[in-house]
Amino acid sequence: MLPPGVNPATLHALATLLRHAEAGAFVAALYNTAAVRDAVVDVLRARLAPLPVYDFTFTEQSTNPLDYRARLPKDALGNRAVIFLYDLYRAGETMYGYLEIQREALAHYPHGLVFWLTPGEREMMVRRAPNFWSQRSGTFDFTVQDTTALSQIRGEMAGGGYRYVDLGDWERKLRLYRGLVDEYEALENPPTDTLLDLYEKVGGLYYAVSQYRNALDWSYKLLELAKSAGEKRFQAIALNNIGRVYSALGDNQRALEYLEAALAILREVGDRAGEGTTLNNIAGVYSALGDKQRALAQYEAALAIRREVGDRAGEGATLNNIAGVYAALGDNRRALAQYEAALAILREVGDRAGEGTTLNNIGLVYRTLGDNQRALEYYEAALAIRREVGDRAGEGTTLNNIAAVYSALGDKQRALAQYEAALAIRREVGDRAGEGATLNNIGLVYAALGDKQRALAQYEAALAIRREVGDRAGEGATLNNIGLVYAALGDKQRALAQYEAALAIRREVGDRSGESVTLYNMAMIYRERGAYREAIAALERVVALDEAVQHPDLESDRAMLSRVRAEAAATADNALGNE
Amino acid sequence: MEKAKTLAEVIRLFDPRQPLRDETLQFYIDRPRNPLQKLETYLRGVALAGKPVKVLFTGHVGSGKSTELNKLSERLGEEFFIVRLDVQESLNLADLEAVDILLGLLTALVRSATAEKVLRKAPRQIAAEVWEDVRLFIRNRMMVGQVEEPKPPVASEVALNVNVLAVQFESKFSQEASTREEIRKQMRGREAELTSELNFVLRQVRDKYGHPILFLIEGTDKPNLVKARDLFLNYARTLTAFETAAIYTFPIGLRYSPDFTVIKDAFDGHYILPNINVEKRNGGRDNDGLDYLESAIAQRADLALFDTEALRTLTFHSGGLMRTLIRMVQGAAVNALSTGGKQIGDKDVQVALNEEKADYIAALKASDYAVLADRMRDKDLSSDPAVQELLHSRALLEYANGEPWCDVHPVIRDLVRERAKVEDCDE
Repeated sequence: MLPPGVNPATLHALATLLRHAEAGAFVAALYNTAAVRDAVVDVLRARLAPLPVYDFTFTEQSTNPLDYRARLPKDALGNRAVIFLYDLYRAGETMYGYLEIQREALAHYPHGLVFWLTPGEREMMVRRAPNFWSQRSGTFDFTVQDTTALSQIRGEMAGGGYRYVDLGDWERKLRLYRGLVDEYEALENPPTDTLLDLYEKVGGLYYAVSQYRNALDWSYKLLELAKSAGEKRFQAIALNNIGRVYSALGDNQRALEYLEAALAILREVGDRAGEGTTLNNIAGVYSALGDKQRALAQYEAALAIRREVGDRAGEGATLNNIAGVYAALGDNRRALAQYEAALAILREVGDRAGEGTTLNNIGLVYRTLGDNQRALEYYEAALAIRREVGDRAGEGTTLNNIAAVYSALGDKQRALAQYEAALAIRREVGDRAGEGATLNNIGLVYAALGDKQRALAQYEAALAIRREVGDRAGEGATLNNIGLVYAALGDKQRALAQYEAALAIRREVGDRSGESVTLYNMAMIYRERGAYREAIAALERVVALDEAVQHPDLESDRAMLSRVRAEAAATADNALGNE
Repeated sequence: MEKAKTLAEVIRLFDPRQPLRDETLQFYIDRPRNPLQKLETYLRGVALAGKPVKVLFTGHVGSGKSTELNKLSERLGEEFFIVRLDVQESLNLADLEAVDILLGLLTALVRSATAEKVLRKAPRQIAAEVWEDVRLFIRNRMMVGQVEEPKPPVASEVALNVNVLAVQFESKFSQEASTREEIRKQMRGREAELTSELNFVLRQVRDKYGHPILFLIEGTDKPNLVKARDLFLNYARTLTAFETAAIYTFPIGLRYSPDFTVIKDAFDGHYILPNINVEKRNGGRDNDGLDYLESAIAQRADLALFDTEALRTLTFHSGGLMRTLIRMVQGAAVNALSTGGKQIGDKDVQVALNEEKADYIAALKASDYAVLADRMRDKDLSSDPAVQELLHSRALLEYANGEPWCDVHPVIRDLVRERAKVEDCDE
C-alpha cells in the first residue's frame, strides 16, 4: 500500500514512463525517508510486473553505477528491465564522475535506471554530473512534506522485524534500517530508543549472513549508545551480540568475556529471557573450547530459564544445542533423543528455519554413525525446508554437508559438484566463513584425489578468507591441512612450519580437539625422522587432550602412543647393541 | 522509422539520452539560418585543399551538437575520410590530458583505417610493412606491461592485427587508471614523436584512400571548466600540431572567459551552435525559432497528439535547447498517458515544466538569483565567472540573432523575478 503523503499520480506517471520507455531511460526519484522509498518501491515492483525489477545499492566498495549489471541474470543484460539504484552517498564523489563518463555505456542497455535521490543527492548530481543529468527523462518527487506524517511513517517502518526470507529481502531490510539510522541520526534530538533498536537490527542482519566485521561494528555502536544513555538492557544485548560474533569468529576467550559481562547485567536488571539467551551462547563457547561438561551445565541452566519464562522457541534451540554437545561427545543415542525433542518443539512453535537446522544436525549424527544413506535423507529434508523458508545460508551449509557424504562415499566428482553449489550460495549470501569452510573441504577432495597442487590452491584461498573474517579456528584447521599436503609432497620442514602455526592458533582459541589432531600429525613427522622423544611427548599430549574432550580417536591414539613407545625402545636397544 | 502516432510511441521516440544518428537522422531538419552551413563550406574550401585547420565547435549542453556533428559527418562523408573520437568513450574524462587526445587520435585513426569494411573498399592498400611499423610503434612505444599479441602476423593480416591492437589499447587506456598513468609517464615529453607517427599514418591514409582526413573530436567540451581551460589554453600546441583538419567540441562556459582570446588565436576558427531563438532580444516571440522547434517535433510525432496551445508552451519553455524540448515532450506524454488522456494538453505540459523548474531550483545558489535578474534586464554576456557558471548550468542561455546575447531560461523566469523582488525588499 502507498504510504500517506505520497501522490498516487506521481507513482502512476513513473510507472507509465518505465513501462513505455522501451529503449530505457535515466530517471530521478526523490525521497526524504527510506521508509517511503521502500514502500513506493514495493508498490512499483508489483505495478511494473511482468517487467523485471532489480535492485542495486551503492556501497563504499561498489561505486560504479555500471556494476548494477552484475546483479542481473546473465542472459538478461540485453532484455528490458527496471533497475532501482540506491544510496549514492555511500559511494562518494567518484560515483558522479562515473556517471558523467559512462553515460553512453549506461544508455546502451534497454534498462530504465531509477536513481533514488535525497534532495541533497539531487543537488550533487546536478553539479557533479551535469551532462548525465541533462539526459534524464524526469524527476519524480516522493518526498513527504508533512512532518507529522513523516515521523509517523518512519516510526512504523523502524518498528518492523529483521527476519528475512531471502537475500533480496535481507538487502531491502538492511537498506531500510541503515537509511532510517542515517535519517534519525541527522535529527537534532534523535530518539534514543529507536536508534538503539535500529542498531541492534542492523547488527543482527549482518550477523545473520556472517558479515562479522560489520556485525561487530554495529554491536559496538549499540554498546556505546546504550552506555551513554544508561540503557542497561541494550547494553546487555550489545555485549551478548559482540560475544556471539567473537564466538562465531573462533575467538572464544574474548567471546566469554563479553557474554559474561552481558550475563551480569541481565541478572542485575532481572531480564530472565535475556539470561536464557546469553547462557545458551556461553554454553556454545564452552562447547567450542572442548569443555563439553561445562557446556552441558550451561545449556541446562539456559534450558531451565527458557522453560520458566515460556520461551518455547528458545527451548527448542537450546535442546538442539544440547544434542550437538552429545553428538560431539560421541553419545549419538542421546544426541538423537535430544534432537527429536528439539524437533518436536520447533515444529510446535512453527519455527521452520530451526526445524531445518535440527534436521541438518540429525543428518550429521547419522553421518558420524556411518549411516550415510540416512544422513542423506535428513540432509535432503533439511535442504527442502531451508529452501522453502529462504534460509540461503542454511542451504549452503546443508549442501556442503551433502557433499561431504558423497566424498565419504567415494563419489568425489559428485562431492565436488555439491561443494561448488554450496560455494556459490555461500558467496551469494555473503557467508564468508562458510565460503572459507567449503573451499577448505574442496581442498580435502583434491587432496584425496591426489591433486596436491589444486588442493593447495583451494586451501590457500580458504586460508585467505578465514583470515579475513577472523575465523581463527578455521584458520588453524586449514593450516593443518596445508601441512598435510607438504608432508605428502615430502617437504617435511615446510609441513612442520605449517603445523606449528596451526598449533599456536588452536591453542590460542582453545580448540583442544584440533590441537590434538595437529599434534598427532607433528608426531608422525617426528616418528619418521626417528625423533622418538618429541614424537612420544606429542602423542602423550594428544592422548591427554583426547581424554579431556572425549575425542572419538582416543583409543586409536593410545594405540599409536604404545606403538611409538615400542619403536623407540627397539631403536634404543639397537643403539645399545651397536655399542 | 515511423513517426509517433500514439502517446506511448512519443515516450519511446523522444529519448533525451540519444542524439539523432544513423537511421534516426531521418528526423533531422535544418535549423533556421543553417548555422553549420558556414562550417561545412569552410571545411570544403580549406580542409579539402589539404590545409590542416583546427576548429572549435561550441554550444550549450543539450543544444544538439552531437546531432549536428552526426549530420555534418553524413554530409561530408563522401569527400573526407572522417575519424570520430569521443573522449568520453575512448579516453577518460575524469583525468583527461592533451597527450591522451593524441594517443586517442592515433588509435582511432588506425582503427578506422584498418576496419574490415574500409580495407575492403580501399582502392589502394597500404603496404603491409607500413602497418607492421605502426603495429610495432603501438606495441613498443605506447603499450606497457603485458600485451596479448594477436597471432604472429601474416602479411595479409597485418592490418587486422593492428586493428586488434588499437582496440586493445583503447580499452586498456580507458578502463585501467594505473595503465593509463604508466602509458602517460612513458609518453610525456615525447609528444613530438607521437605527432610525427600520427602524421606518418595520416599521410599514408590520405595517399592510399584518396581522401583528406577529418577528425571529429567530441566530449572535449565535457570536462569541468578548470580542466577544459588547462587543456585548451596550455596544450593548444599539442592539440593543433598534427597535419590534418580537426573539429574540437569546446565548452561554452569558456567562450566568454578572458582566456578565450588567447585560445582563439591558437586555433583557426570557432563555430557556435546557437540555441534556437524563442524570443527576440528586445522582447517578443521569435516565430521562426518557435516554428522550427514545432517542425522538429512534427518530424517525430503526429501533431494531432498535441493541443496547439500546449505545443507552443512546450517550444517556448524549452529555451531553444533541443534536449530540454525532447525531455519535456516525453514528460508531458507520460503525464497525459498516465492520466488517461489521448492528447498532450496544457496541464500535462505544466507538470513537465514544474519538474524542469524544480530541478533548476535545486541547482541554483541564493547568490545566483541576483545575477540572473541582472541578465534578465540587460541581456548582456560577460566574462564574469558567475555568468560563465550559469551558462554552463544552462540557467542562462546564449542566443545569437545579431550580436550574441543571453537570457534566463524561460522555465525559471517567474522564479527569478520573485526571488529578486524579495531581495530588493531586504535592501
